[in-house]
Amino acid sequence: MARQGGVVSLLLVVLLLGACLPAPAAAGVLLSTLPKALAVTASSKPGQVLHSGVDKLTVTWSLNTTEPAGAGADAAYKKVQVKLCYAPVSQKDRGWRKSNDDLSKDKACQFKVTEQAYAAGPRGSFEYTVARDIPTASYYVRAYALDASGTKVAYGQTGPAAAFDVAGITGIHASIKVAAGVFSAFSVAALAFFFVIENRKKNK
Amino acid sequence: MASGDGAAPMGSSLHGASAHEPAFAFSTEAGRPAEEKDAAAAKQFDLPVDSEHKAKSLRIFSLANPHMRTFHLSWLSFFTCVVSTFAAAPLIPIIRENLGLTKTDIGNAGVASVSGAIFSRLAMGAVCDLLGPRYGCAFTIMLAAPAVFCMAVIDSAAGYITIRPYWTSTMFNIKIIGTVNALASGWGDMGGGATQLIMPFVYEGILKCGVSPFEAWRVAYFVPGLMHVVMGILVLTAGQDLPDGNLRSLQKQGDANKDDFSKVLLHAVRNYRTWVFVFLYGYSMGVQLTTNNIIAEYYYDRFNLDIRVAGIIAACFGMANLVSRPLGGVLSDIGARYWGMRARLWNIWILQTAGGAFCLWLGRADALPASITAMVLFSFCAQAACGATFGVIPFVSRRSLGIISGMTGAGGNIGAGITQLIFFTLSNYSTGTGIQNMGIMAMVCTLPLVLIHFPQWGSMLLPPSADADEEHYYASEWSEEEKSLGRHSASLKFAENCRSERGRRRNAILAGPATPPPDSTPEHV
Repeated sequence: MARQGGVVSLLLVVLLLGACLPAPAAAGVLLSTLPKALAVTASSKPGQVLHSGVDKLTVTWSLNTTEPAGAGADAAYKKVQVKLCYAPVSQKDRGWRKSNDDLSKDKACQFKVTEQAYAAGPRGSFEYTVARDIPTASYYVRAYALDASGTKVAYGQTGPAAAFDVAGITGIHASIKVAAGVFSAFSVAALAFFFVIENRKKNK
Repeated sequence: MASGDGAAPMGSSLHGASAHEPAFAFSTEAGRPAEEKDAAAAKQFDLPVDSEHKAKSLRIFSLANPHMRTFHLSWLSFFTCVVSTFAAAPLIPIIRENLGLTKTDIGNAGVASVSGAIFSRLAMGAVCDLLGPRYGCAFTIMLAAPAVFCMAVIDSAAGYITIRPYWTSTMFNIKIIGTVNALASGWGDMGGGATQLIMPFVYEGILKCGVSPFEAWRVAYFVPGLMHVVMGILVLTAGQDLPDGNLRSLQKQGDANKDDFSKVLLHAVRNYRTWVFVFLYGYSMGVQLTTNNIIAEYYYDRFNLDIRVAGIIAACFGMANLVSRPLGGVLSDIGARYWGMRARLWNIWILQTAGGAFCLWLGRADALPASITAMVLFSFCAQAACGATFGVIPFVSRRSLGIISGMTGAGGNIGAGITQLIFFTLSNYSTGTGIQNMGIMAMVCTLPLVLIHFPQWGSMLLPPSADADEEHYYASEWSEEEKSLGRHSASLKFAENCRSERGRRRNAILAGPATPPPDSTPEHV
């Protein structure tokens, strides 16, 4: 009976989990349908290495004047969202960074640089200190223009050709190394201690 | 920890598996009928004991020394090792970014982690016999602790792949006393699920203290490392080898009856059933181990869940071990009561094939609730199949039981390594497709079970031979010379006890302990 109870409760948990979890999102905006209306530049040179937590990157964006959409197109743009995207070389053999035309499923641009109001006219810019959770990889910058409801309506990017590198932190501190060493030594020493003591008792 | 009886022959570390009691049942004693009780012993121990001071029953919530304490130390240390073995799995999304791992790296580490256990699983029997189970356990758990701590300081894919097999070689090495195998190993296997809960929660807790992700996972790794140290010390201080306390008696009395290791190995290897089970176990336990390694990452990637939720779901897979592995043993025993060994074999086949089918469904499921349901059912069936398999293993051989159990366990790990390699490392397709293929392979590779045939009990498709009996089967492992020395007496006793594997109908026709000719009148129907 306990077993049946166990099975029933486990099934209940499963059902609850299924109910509480977010429903799969409806298909998002497709990148191929967005006009490339923003011209985006980054202060980094291609191939430059930026150290996370230390180095800064300045991103600027403005309306792309060569696009046929023309000057009035940006009336709908309320906000700009800038993201770091993995360059193709860093996506290779790593399915969890794959690009997808459906932006709701796209995993190539996981790190947000900034999201701020869009001002028509002057170039917008932002100075970004590379965050400490950015892994070591090659990146380029992409900016999305959002309308009032937060839907992406246009984009622009520095492009994979102009990718720069980020050297992420290792996360290893001297204190972690010391602690690991101390505990390991203690473990081995404790074992040896018991072994020796008991051998002595046995031989007495 | 209490080992086998004081005169434990070599290779019988997982001894004590009685043919009589069900695989999960609560006696830590070798399969002998109740003998005269030692009145003094009855006062000395909390649980009723037999003449060798082995407990005859199990009280789960007691910590009494030495039997219950040993049981709890056993499954807890096993649990600790499984936790640390799979501690990386739920944190892979973070680790892979920190170390710049590729899909191939992650797959290789997974393969390495389950392969590391293969050799140690085989060797543990010998280790326990030489040093006693208490030191066998303590050695592996405490020497593995540095490997766990080292995980916290690695900084490259190569380091990751190198370290993982070292501490996972402790997995499945902990000596589990005799017939509480299914319970203790089930609870230990639960560690695979527990770690998918523990690690993400610890990690998130550390994150909230303001530590960056790439440091936080390393600090989180101290939790399993410390568990190792604590458990090791507990085993050394609170555990003991035998009910009477010391390894010395084992060694003093043991000499006369110590079996020849090479003979034991020979009989294990020459029995074809051993190899069938070694192969088969790879598709219940092996599939389980592989899934433990990949499932959290699968949910994180396919359904875009956050790391903690992915961990909880993955945990349900492993935690089901709490009930499902013993359940497999229970089903095996219930079937055996009516139809004997044939029911046990069918039980394994049904559970393992159903597990493969649910695995296939899991890989195909696109909606989250369907996927989780498939996973839960898959976990129940695969884990129950593991428990059911060990409900049959004790009958394959009496003399070489320890080695066969070790080999079967190693087979589980080999299957896990191969499965991980073929479907998740070398493959070019997605994890979901890999899971589907794994399910299909499990279903196909369970078919060899029909080859298992016991002359005295039959097989899945064939009835037993009319003139075969248990004594003949078990005594055939001993040479004439050994029989003349009476070395096979334990096997004969065992054979007598496992008459119940004939099933109720056939047993009703027989009378008494000796095998009567088939046409004798029954004494009681």
